[in-house]
Amino acid sequence: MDITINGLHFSYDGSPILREITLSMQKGEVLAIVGPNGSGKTTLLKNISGVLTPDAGAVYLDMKQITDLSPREISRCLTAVEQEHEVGFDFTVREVIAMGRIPYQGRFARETTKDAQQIREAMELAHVSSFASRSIQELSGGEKQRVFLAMALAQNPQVLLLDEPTAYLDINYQLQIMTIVRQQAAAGLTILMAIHDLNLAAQYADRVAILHRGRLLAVGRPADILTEANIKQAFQADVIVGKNSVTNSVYISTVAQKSKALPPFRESLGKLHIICGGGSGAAVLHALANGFSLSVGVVSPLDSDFQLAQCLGAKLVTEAPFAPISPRAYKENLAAMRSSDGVVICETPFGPGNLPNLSAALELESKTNIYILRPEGIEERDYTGGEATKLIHQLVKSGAIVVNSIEELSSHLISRY
Amino acid sequence: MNQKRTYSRRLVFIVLLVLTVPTLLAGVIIGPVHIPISDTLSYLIGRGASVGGSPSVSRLIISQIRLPRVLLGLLVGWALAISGGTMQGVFRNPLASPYILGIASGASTGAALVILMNLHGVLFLPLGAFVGGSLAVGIVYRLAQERGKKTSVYTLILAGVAVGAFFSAVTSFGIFLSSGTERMTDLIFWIMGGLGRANWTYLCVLFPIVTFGSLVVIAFSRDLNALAMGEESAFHLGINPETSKRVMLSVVTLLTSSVVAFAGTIGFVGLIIPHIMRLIIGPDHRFLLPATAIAGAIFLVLADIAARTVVRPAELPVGIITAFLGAPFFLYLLKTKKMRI
Repeated sequence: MDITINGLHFSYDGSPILREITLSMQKGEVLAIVGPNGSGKTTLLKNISGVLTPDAGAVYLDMKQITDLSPREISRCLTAVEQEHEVGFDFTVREVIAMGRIPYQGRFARETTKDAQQIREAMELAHVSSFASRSIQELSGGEKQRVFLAMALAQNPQVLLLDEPTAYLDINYQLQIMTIVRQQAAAGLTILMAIHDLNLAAQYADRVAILHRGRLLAVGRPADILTEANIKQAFQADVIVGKNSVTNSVYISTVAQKSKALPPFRESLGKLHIICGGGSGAAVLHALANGFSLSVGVVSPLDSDFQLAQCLGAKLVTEAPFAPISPRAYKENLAAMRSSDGVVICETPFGPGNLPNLSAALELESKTNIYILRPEGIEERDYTGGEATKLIHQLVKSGAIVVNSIEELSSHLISRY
Repeated sequence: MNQKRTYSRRLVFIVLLVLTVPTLLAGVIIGPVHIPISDTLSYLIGRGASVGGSPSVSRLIISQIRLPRVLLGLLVGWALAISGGTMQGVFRNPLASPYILGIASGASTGAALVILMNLHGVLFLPLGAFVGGSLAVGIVYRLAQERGKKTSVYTLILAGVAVGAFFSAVTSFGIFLSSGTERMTDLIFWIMGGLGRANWTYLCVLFPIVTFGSLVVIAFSRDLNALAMGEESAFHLGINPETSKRVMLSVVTLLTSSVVAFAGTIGFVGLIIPHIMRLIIGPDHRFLLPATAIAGAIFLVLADIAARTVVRPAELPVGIITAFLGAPFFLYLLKTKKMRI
């Protein structure tokens, strides 16, 4: 079923919430509405589902205007799953899902075999069969979310509106729900979802619409629409947009806004640059943060060392996740090393992606300021076919200091600076 | 289908229906004047009463006093319980009762005015009560509506309390004005509530109203189920929440007002019976409402038997019995169950 939204306006208590929304969707399409909190995503969904009536403009299901249809007629082709569910009494999960058949039942009708079949299928799809006889009120937020998705599926709709379908779900179920969404779209359902997770939108939606202060900022394919500029404008957030080489979809990572809340270091003994990644820098960063001003590079925002360094207030040289180190990042990194009093190379696994961090260290003029933590283990951490091992040996040979523990490292550094 | 649940549902209905028969019999047999069981049975079966010392008196007591009273008890208990179950469904709140929107106070005032104005005729009483009850609900509903938008449950309940208090004051004022007259006794009846005025004319008026109201409410029980999921979810299931709520509130107003007209305000039946039945049969209103109705009928007849016998030969208002049993049970539920308002 196609949806056409034409010049939709909606205001609440005189203040406009949605303005000039024009959007159309085709059968089998998944469209994600993203936008900051309060941008009108939920209100837009409610206008489309007929819960709210627009002040101007109209919503059409195929060629029929939704305000001309009765709730029962609407419920046979369109349904919506809300974000929050407050169930009044302790119905069982199955009883709740069975209500999805109400649009097809008469007032005194009993459940038919076809009803039972649809209910069973919906329960299996949403993975709720295992707790079908439990009370809805005992369930966790995520379980409830899946039960209501199952109820919507039992309704056998042609259009499905989802408001934050992954809000309460852990990562496993987020993916399951998104998989169901894609399967249902492939089966011909038109799916419109409001979602705050830009990466899920990028990965699973055919098209993305960015809603900003009640207007559509941009609509189109995720790769075209989810740009740093658009996201900055809509969310006032600095992000890095890269490409996830595994899923081949755009990937959005946040960049910390300069935090003024963190206190400056009491007294800096000197500047240190740390080469780490994949968690290998955690112990070193913690040990040195209270005495030195630190810089870290090159790490991606998806790296746990990135997040820790950020929390500790270290300067960061970054690169988009899953991308090789660009010449820009390489230069920035080298500059950070040169302006430091010392460089620490942690027990980091090296692959082709982060190998340039070692090459950069090798470019430094005075190698005696380089500290290498337990270089003897490098062969086990070398995923470059010997290249990283070679570089480490070169560094040691040209005067880099070998340390065997973090204690040894800190005593070295403290005695020196 | 969940086999266990259907089986126990059927069992609940069988037990309830089986309990109705002895309850009815007990209601007719027990009373201040001793009437042998054989007399009662032979009257009920329709055989001529020729056994015993003064058959005509026995017959008269049974046919003009006890049987109408038991049947009124059944109808009133039925109507109050099904109204309470409906209100709890509409407000998605197990603390709701048929009186929550000030219906009882409004209906009492209406009935009191009919008496004060000396209007005779059996239809005036329920008519006055219905007008009063509808007026109260209408005012409450109007107050709670926010500029043509959705009706807020909290405002409804608060407005119900206020409007109820106002109408109670009007009734009390009526009692004050009529103090010392015969009418005062009649008016106090509405404050107390009871089945003592039962007669066949009342039953002929009340029976069709209760039948009609119950059928409508049961026909809308599916809507109550959907409403329990939240009003928006109900809309997505093809139900117009506002229409359903209005239909059900109107029917409850009709049922409750008519009951008040003939039996005054009897508390707790409409509050605790739906609650207990929900624990037994589950929250599905298609089964809950009929089961609640039968249970309410049985409960009120039993409570009335107690009211007639506890301080024999005097008689307690049945509302004292229902409150005496209901209030502690309600507190128990409040204490043990998490009840959200």
